[in-house]
Amino acid sequence: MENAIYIGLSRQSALRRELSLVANNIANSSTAAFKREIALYSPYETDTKMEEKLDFVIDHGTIVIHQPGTLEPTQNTFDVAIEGPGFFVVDNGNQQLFTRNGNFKLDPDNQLITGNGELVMDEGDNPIFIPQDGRKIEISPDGTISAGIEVLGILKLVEFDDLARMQKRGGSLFDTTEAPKPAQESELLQGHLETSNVSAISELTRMIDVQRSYEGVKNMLDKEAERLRTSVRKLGSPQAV
Amino acid sequence: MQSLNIASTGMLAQQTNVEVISNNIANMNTTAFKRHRAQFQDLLYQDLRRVGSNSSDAGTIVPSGIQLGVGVRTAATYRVNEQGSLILTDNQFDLAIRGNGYFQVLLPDGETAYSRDGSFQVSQDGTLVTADGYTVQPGITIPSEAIGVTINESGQVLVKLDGQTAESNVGQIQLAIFQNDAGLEHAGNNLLLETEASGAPSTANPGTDGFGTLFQGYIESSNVDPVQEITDLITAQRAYELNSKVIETSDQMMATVNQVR
Repeated sequence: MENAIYIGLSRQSALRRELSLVANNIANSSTAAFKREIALYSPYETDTKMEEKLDFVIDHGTIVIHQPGTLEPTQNTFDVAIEGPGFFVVDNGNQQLFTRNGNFKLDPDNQLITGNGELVMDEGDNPIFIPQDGRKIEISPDGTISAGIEVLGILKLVEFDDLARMQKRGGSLFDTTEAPKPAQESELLQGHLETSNVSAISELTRMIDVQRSYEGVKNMLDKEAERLRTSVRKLGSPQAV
Repeated sequence: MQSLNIASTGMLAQQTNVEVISNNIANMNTTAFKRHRAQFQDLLYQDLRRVGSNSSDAGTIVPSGIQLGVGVRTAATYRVNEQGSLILTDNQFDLAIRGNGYFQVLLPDGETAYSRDGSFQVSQDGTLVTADGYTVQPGITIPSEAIGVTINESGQVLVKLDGQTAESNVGQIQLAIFQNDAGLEHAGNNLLLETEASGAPSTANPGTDGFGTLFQGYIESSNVDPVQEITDLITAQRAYELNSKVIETSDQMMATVNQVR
């Protein structure tokens, strides 16, 4: 008998999680190479004693939207943006992860690292050493890092067939179950960073949508509670019928 | 409501952003100041897996669980090392660097700091010092009887003494360069310090391969571009407002819950 209330609750908890998702997108609207996420809903069918089945709401999963952000000039030698669907390969000491955030630096051992300190990998899966001798470092579109005529290393750039299998790991890092393949359609741009692909308008619209749907469910719950109250009152006092 | 916490991390990040931008604007007229940018990173993700979610349900496009990020943090602020424009001052001890490199300055505690602010002066004992009185390295003493000082593009300090026709060389200004300039740490007063991220300095005479050249009688202005900063400021403000809108919405949704009878 309380099915309506439970269905309403399932919708409300899904909406609350969706608001968290929207909040995270908005909070990261200035994060380099951040990819926004959307929630995916689906009905969850349950059997009842009635003829018709009941559908609960379930927020089935989150989908990362891999649409590229715009490229912003930063003038810094070790800021590298990717044009195309590729990813850099980095190593956090335990495993290889993938990122599009090319805001790199040098560590005390002259190795190229990310903002979090993960080592950036070259084509042979080794760290890249940049000698500190003041020569101007050039990074070409194919990832070749050179100082003058000397080649210091080639940045590893990979692509994936199925971006939907990528899971976020924080700090702009992605993990995936799919084996990477060498990049074909990606090029690098030195002195640029990719901005976040969050669109203020669409996030705001979703937020309004979430809030109004939440209120709608609440009104439905109110009405359902009222209906129960009325029926209990009427059935409980036969003379009043 | 988790969205409250997430939105507050977003507001904090934008606040940092505005602080960085306001420091840039405040230093618009500071000699050799390099503008900063704040760099952000998303925080860890929670993998929420609930009973009933089914990974095989919709083929491959749907991850089995729900990933919820918990917000944003400021990862770093970094300097943009673009050259500022050179301004003619006609002051004989004003030096501007065109290209790569930093002057070396000896701090009172014996440490070496780096600076592109070349508005130098001469101390009472004839030493070339910064506006704060710190000695420029390697030390250069200008004789008191000098009637003219020339500092050439490659950093040689030539003085003309009273009664002499030839100029005499009294020293050589050297520049230091870093592989990762962006990693230098600010010490205030237009001074920068070496860090692990910047790497160790290498020094040479100005004009050497990879090193900038000196211009006497000029100083380098800041590289702050007011139009860029105002644009960034507007973007940061709107992002801040958007985050506060999330807080408002979360609050209204909580109020909705409280009204349930």
